[in-house]
Amino acid sequence: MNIAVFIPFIIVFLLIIFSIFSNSKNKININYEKINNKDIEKYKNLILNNELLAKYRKSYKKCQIIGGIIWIIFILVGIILLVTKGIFIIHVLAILGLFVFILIPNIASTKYNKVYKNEIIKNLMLANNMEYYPDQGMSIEDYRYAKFEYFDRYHSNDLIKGKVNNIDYILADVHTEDRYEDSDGDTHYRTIFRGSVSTLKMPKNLNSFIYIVNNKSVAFSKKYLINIDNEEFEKIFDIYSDNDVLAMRILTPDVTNSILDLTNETGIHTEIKIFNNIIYFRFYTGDLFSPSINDIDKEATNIAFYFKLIEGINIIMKNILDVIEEVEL
Amino acid sequence: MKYIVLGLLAILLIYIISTINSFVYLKKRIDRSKSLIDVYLKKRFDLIPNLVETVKGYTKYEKKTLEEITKLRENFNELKDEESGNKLNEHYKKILAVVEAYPEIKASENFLNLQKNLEKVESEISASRRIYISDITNYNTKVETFPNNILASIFKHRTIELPLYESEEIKINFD
Repeated sequence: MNIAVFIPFIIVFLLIIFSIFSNSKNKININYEKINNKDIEKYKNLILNNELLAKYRKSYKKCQIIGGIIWIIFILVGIILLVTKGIFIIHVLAILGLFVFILIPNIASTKYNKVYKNEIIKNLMLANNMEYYPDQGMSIEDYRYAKFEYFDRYHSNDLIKGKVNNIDYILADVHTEDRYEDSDGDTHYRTIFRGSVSTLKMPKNLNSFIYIVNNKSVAFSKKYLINIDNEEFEKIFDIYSDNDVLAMRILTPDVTNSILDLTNETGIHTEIKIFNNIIYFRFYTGDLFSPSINDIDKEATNIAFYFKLIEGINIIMKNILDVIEEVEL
Repeated sequence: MKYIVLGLLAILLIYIISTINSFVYLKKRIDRSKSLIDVYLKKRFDLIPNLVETVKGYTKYEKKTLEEITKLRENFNELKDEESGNKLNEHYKKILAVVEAYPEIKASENFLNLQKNLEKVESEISASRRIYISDITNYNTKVETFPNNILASIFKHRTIELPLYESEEIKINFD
């Protein structure tokens, strides 16, 4: 039997393995344990009770079955051609059939995604005094200003607008990639960061930077490293600043404890950068707003997690803004 | 076998050099953070003449006392001696107590101009003390943990006592 028959299956298997490992390398380690089960149930009922979503879920299942049948038909045709006429194109037909299997349900899932974002997520955000724009994102200039990393490709969507202490902030999904060439000279892209980024413009300009990151996760000059009098905070985070006294004045126990609370509640890799007059939050959450058409529990958990994240960000921002308001610069 | 021993010796040597250097580096950080406190204390003491000017009309400040304050400031700026610093702190606290006792001073234009500077300098002193304490704690932890403590005792690096600031903390509350 020709080994080429198995190639499409090997490719699919390798893609699955690759996606599992690429997630873990991207520092995504969300702790769902502390999310309130009542919240998850609430969001689950919201999703289940939406008629349009129920319709597209059924349609998706039908499309999967149809796509699967077409794939099997393609393989059978390939086998028949090989056996009867000696024409070996079974591997081509298997790959074509696989594309059909993936493509057809995709039509239903695209419609599902649109309804999920425009009805479920949007209405939840409005109920919490926030606005949601699924097709808009953070501008590349705003992200670049923070100087997190150099990147070749940038994409942002799922923009949320809110207010803290009467000051506007935004939160969006961001995906940055860098370009590299393999040994054959082909260009590829690999993910540098995929997660949620939030920014807020403060009423005062520090004319300095303060950078809070998980321990040893970034290469930053040691001369900017600051020690803080909070042992638990020091265990998890490194703090860098070009003005240690100012950083200490801003990182009061209220501020550091709220950052610790968010990290302990969610388990996610967190970075906070205060750069001149802008606060940036960066969380390695992956793509949180991609609905899982087959897994409503996961969708509901993700929504509950996202609101927990927003609540935590609001508390930290409020504490920082309260300090900035009092501090004479 | 010879090469294994040489390799182990090289690793040991690298460890010794890097540990001693880290003791020196941490000690320098402590010196720097201590000098930062002095900088902000000097800023606090530089506000004393303005404070005296503000309270002058409400209480009797004798010429002799004013001369003493000026001399103490000069001593502190030059020598950074603890005694001058402590006496200046005492005068500073006395003047602030007068401000607390006379509400009309708080409303005066002189004082309103001073208030922001006072709050800022106290916040800076508090922050620089936190940095100093953190740097000492880091150094002490390095010196006391095994096997660094062996090298620390050989090269006479001793733990530093943490300063007590509670009694000196001046809480500014002008509301």
